[in-house]
Amino acid sequence: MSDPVVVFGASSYVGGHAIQALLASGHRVIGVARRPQMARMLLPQESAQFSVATAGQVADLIGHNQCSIVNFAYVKDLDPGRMYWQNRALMDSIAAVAAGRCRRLVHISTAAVFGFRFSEPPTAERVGRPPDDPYGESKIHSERLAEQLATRSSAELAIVRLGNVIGPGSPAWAAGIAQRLLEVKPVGYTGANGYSNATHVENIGDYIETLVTRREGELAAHGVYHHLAEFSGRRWPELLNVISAEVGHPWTTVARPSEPAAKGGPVKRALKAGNRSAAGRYMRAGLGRIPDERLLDRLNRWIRYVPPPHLAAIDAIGGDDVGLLEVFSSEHEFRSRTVAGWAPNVDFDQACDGIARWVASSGFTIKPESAP
Amino acid sequence: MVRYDIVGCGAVVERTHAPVINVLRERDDVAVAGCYDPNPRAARAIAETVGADRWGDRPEPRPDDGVHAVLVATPPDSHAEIADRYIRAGKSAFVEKAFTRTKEEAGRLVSTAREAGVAVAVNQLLRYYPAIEAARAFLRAELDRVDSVHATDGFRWDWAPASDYVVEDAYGGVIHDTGAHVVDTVLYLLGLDRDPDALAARVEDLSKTPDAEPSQECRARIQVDGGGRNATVGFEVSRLRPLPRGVRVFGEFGALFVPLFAPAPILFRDGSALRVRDAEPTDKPDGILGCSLLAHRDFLRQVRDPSVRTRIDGERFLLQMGILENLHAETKR
Repeated sequence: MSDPVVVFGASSYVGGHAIQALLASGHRVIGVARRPQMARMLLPQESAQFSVATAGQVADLIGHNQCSIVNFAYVKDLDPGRMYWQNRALMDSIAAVAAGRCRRLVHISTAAVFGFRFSEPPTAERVGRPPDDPYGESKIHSERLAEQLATRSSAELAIVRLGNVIGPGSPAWAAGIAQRLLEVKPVGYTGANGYSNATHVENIGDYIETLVTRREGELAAHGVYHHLAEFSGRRWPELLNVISAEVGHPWTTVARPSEPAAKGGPVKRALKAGNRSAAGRYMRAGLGRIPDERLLDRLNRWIRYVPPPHLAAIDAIGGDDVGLLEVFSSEHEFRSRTVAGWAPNVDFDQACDGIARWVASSGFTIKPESAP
Repeated sequence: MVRYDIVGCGAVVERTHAPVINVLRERDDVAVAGCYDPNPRAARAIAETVGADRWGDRPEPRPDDGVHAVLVATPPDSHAEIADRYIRAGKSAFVEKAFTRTKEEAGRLVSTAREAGVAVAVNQLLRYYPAIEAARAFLRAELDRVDSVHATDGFRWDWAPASDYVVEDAYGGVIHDTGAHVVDTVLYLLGLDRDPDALAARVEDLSKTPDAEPSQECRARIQVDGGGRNATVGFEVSRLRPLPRGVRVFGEFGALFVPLFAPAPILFRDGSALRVRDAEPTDKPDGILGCSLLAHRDFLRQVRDPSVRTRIDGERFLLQMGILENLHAETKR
C-alpha cells in the first residue's frame, strides 16, 4: 500500500475534489480540518481509506509511516497586521505533521502571486517583488514558508500555482459569475476579451494525484514551481456565453476607468504609500514573528485603522470589483507548466457543459420556468 | 446617552457592532457598561475595543445598575432567556437575528417589553440594504401581479468557527442563520411583516440535509396566507453549496432579482434589464457597517421612546419566527 496522503484544507472546494481523485486511485487519505465535524458535512463518507482529523490527531493515525502532504489551506482573513502570523501558525501545524515523516509536500498556491493584472506573462519561478494586494502578498509568504519547511523536512516540494478554478459549484468562477450576471454587473473591461487562464477542478484533483504518485526524484527534475491552467488560452467570453445562456441575460462589460486620483490628504497618502512599500511589508512580516498571539491582538487593536461606518452615494464599481475586472480582462496567458506526461481528463467543452448544467440546476436563472 | 451591555462577544460583535458603537460613542450617543461572554478573552477584547467599564462571563442585570439596554449577540438558543432577564430589569433589548427559537418566545418578549415600557428590536440588517428597500417600494404597487417568489442563499462553508456550535447545537443549523435572513427578506419585501395576527404560514415539501437539526441545507415551499396578501415562496438555503444570493420575484411585470448584498434590484423585462432605484435621492448605507449604523440608530430611537415603531421593531418578526419554527420543528418527528 502507498504512503498515506495528508490533505490540509480538506473541506475547501478544490481540496474536496482532490480527495475524491486520491481515493479513486486507491490512496489512503487523511483530511485535516480545524473543525472536523463541519468538514464531515462536505467530504466523502469516512471509511478505512479516508478519515477526517485535526492536525494534532494525524500523527496517531499514521504512526511511523512516511506520508505525502498536500496543502490547500490558506489564510482567508487578510488583516495586514495578522496575515504573516497566521501563515506561520498554519505552516507550523503542517510542520508538526511533517516532522521526520514527510516524503513529499505539495503546496497549493495561485496565479495571484503575480497580481490581479499581469504586467507580463508569468513564469514558473520564484516571485521577487510581491504584488500590491494583500492576497498576493500573503500567498507569496506562504510559498516561502513551504520552501523552508520542505528544506527542514528533507521533503520533495511541488508548489502548484492554480489558474482560475472552474467547475460545477466553483465559488468564484461559476457561482460567482452567475451571481454577477444576475446582478447585471460587468464582467470585464470593454474590448478586453481576456484570457480565462482557467483550470478545471477535476483536472486539479487528477494533477495532484499525479504529483503524489510520481516516483521519487521525478519532481526534482521538473523544478519546484508548477503552473496549472490547462484552458489558459481560452478567452473569458467563451465561458461567459455558456453561463449567461443559462442565466437568461447577456453579460456586460464596462469601460476601463482612467487612473483614479489619489484620495486623502498628504499624510494619509504618505502612510498608504509607505504601507505598500518594502517598509510596510517588513513591518507586517515583523508582526508575524511576535510569539504571543494575545500581544499581537493588542498591538493590532492599537495600530489598526478601521474605517468608521458611514452613509455614502453608491459607486458604480466598488473597490472589490477592480481586481476581478482585471482578471476578466487579462492580456497575458498564465500558461500551464506541468510535469511531463500529464494531460487533463476534462476538456473545455466538457467543462462548459458541466458548468451549464450546474448553473441551471442551482437556480441561477431569471427564466420564469424556474419558479416554484 | 444610552448605556449598553453587550452579551456575546464573538465575531459578529467584533466586525459589525463594535465599529458602529465606537462611532456612536464619539457622538456621545452610547457608552458601554459591560461586555460578557463565556470566553473571558473575547469579553475582554471587546471591552477594550469599545471602552467598557467591566467584562465577565455572565451578566447580572439589576434595575439600579445604570444600564439602559442590552445587545444580545449570543447564539439564538439563548436570546430569549438573556433578553428576558434584561427586559424584566427594565432595560431595552437589541437582539441579533434569529430573534428567538420560536414564535411563542418572540411573542412573549414583545409583550413583556410592552408591559415593562421598554423596547425590543431585532438586528435584521438586510432590511437596510438599498436593494431591498427599493424592491419593497417597487413591489408595493405590484403585489397583485406577483405569480411566485423564489428565495435562496447558499455558499460552501469553508472556515472554522470558534466552536462546533454550527454542527452540534440544535439551533446552530442553517435555518436560524442564513434562513432567518432569507425568510425575513421575503416577508419584508412583500409587506408581510405587519399584522402578525392576520397572517399565517405553512411549510410544504420540506427537505433537509441532514434530516435532523442542526441541518446544513434546507429546501421547502412556504405558503403565506392572510388579508388578501398571499404568496407562494420557494425557499432554499445551504452551507454545503452555492445558491443564488437573493430573491427572485416573478409576475406580470417580468422577473425582479433582489440581491441580498447589492445596491439595487434588477428588473428583467422584454429582454432588457433595469436597475430599480429607490425614489428617495438620499445617501445610502455603505456596506454592512452602514446598515449596522442605521439599525443601531433606530434601536436608540426606540430606547429613548418605546412607543416609536421602526422597521426592526420586535413585533414585526413574529411571522418570521413562526416560519423558522415550522422549518425547524419538522425534524422532531
